Amino acid sequence: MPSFISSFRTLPHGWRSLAIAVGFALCALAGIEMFWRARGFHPTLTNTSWLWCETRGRVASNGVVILGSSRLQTGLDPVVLSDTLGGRPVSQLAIVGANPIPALLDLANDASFNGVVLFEYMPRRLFTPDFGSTERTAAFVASCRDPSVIAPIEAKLERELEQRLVILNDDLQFVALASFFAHHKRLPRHESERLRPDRFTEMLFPEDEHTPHAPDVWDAPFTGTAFEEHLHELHDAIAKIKARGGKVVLYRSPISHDILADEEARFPANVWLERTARALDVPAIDYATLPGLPPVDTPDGEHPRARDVPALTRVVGQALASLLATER
Amino acid sequence: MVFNSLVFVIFFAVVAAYHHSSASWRSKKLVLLVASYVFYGAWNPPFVLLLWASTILDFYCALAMERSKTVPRRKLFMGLSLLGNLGMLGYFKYGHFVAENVSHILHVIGIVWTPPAFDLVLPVGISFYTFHTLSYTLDVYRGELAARRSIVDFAVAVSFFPQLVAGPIMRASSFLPQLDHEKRGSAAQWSNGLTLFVIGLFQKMVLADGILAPIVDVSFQPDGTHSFADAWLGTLSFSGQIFFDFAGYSLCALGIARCLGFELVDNFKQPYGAYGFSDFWRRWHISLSTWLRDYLYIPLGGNRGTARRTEINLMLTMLIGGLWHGASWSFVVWGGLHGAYLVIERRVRGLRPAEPTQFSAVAMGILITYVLTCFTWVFFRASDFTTAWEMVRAMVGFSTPHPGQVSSIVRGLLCVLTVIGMLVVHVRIRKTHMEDVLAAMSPVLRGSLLGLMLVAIVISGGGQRAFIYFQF
Repeated sequence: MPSFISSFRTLPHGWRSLAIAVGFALCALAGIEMFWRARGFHPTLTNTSWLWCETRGRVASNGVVILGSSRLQTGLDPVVLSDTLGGRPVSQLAIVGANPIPALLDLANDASFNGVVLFEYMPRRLFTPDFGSTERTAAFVASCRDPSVIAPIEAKLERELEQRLVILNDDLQFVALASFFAHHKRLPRHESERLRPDRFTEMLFPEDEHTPHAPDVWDAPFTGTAFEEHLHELHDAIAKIKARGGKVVLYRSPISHDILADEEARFPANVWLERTARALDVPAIDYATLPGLPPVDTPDGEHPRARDVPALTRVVGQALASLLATER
Repeated sequence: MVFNSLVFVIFFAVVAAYHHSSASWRSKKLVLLVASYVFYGAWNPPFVLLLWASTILDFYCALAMERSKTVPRRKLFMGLSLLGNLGMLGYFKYGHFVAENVSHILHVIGIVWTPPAFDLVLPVGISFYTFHTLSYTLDVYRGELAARRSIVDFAVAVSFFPQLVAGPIMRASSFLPQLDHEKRGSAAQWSNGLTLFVIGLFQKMVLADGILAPIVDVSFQPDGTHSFADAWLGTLSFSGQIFFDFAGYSLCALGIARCLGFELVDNFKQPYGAYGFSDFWRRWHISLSTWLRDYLYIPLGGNRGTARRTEINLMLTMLIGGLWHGASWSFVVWGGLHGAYLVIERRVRGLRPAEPTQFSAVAMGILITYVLTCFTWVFFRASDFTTAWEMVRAMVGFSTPHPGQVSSIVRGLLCVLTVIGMLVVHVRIRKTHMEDVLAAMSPVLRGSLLGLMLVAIVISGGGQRAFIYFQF
């Protein structure tokens, strides 16, 4: 054999060490799994682009699509919304930490779509140039065009495991745990969120924990250019959807604490939501003005507790239904 | 298909089961061939056609060269092989780059020309299999290798799935003889192969993807501002990420091939323990550096001419090596910097011919080599020159004062510890082989370490990032 071929060295007791490795790993993983289950953790899905693509693939032509960031992914339950709208199919396509504009463009370019888009009004995404959040949505949209034959099979296999094993929970991955430990000086007591197969994410805040963000959540200062650019993009996309008989509705979701104070100081909703809706020629729903809205607790300032979401969704659904009826 | 996927585990189990059955060697080779095409086609099925085109072209060119009675005819078929392979590579990989640069040059002289839209997807691993297959026709042309009569054997050599998309770049002369007799993994090869596979996956999923990649992604964000600490943290992290990503892939490939009874070439040998740049290139991506040495540097004249000619040959080889990685001027700069380092080292080495004996002097040489290598990685990783330049400026102290981009101290600390650990290991075992270190361990210690790695792989959260070298 040529001299530069890898020099194959026989490891002494190779099988014994492999058996020890497998035995050690199985015992350790089983122990870790039991430990987290005993602390109240349950298996949950990972918020991947493939789950998004599957949901996108199931969008009904006349269905309702939720587009936004984590505020909407955690704040609107598609099952409840569908019930409130008389069984109309609802797809949850909001993406954590992302600007939904590329997803709206994708729907606008889908000639078969003539349904309703519930589009998040979030000043931070609309009025400031963003760093990466648009790219994140664009990457999700692009991944749906991945020609790979294997990727969907891999995604299904992964999901089967994620639905059964707690140790695959993102919150319990090594780096996430290390960060949590450094911050709280203890291990997490229970899961912080649970992702359902329909992509609705239940936020499971501890009752005693209120950790609102500091107001430094703004990526960059407001610039008129970014606002104009985003409005221009949105206007074209909305025009395409409307031309096919579809509708787009702006929705401002519940926020509280420093986040609310900061947003109101910069962009008072009673001025800017109306201004944006007028510029885009679309109706808007503001949580703050919804009649009959029960108290919604957003412990971190922008994500509602899972238990408050059904009631919130029903009220939003009723407002949407009456808007659609009026428009008709 | 990627090694760090559940589908691959099922795929490999099926292939290995058939490979170790009582079927004939010929049918096993056919199954290996089909499996390799499935492995490759899983990304984008039509690109298998390119692989076939390259295989058929070189198989018949080699036969024709061997049967040619005259030198011009041999040259004709060699030229055909080069034209076909480099033509495909050029079209898919460099077409847009060339058109864009021609457009810029024309613009400078006042001619406005908009290049046609090259809306092409780069076939995965095209640079790797082009070099695999070219090594065959070049060796046959030189009379160093007999042309194969079996197209199945040759096709298996070109497409053998463990090394198909990201190497190691196997020479036909070292792989084809392994197909002459039936191969199946012995018990020792299986235990070694699986050990290497676990270590490779650990390097990729835990160290490269789980710990280092998130910091690198933030640090190299275009339009981002960089502080001195962030720039260094990002660059050091990338030096680790690219090593663990690529060396991890190579170890997986070696391990998988070994389970099937095949041996591939070593691709890495503790590169950050290198004393100087010629030493670095004997340790980093060894299969590429030896390919470039044998099929480019030596044919250019190597070090047989004047000192100046040798330096030009070195520079040309490294520039082309840079361009091999990607159609971008930043890769050319990366290659150029390495070329310049090698030229300078050649001149300095005239004054100090051998590696010093004192550890402190060696350590200083290793540190200088590593730091200078880190500067080249900035150009390799940055998506554009502006980002690269901003990073380099920040690294030498011209940073804009701001709080920095990397907000998580824990993540930053983990990166620093990982990189320090990597450097310590590379320096400690720079004169030996990783497998020797493993062999010296007791089975209990080795087993426990591998067990820990398996646990870390499951709880790493590295996800399924593609291997960096797939894009080449």
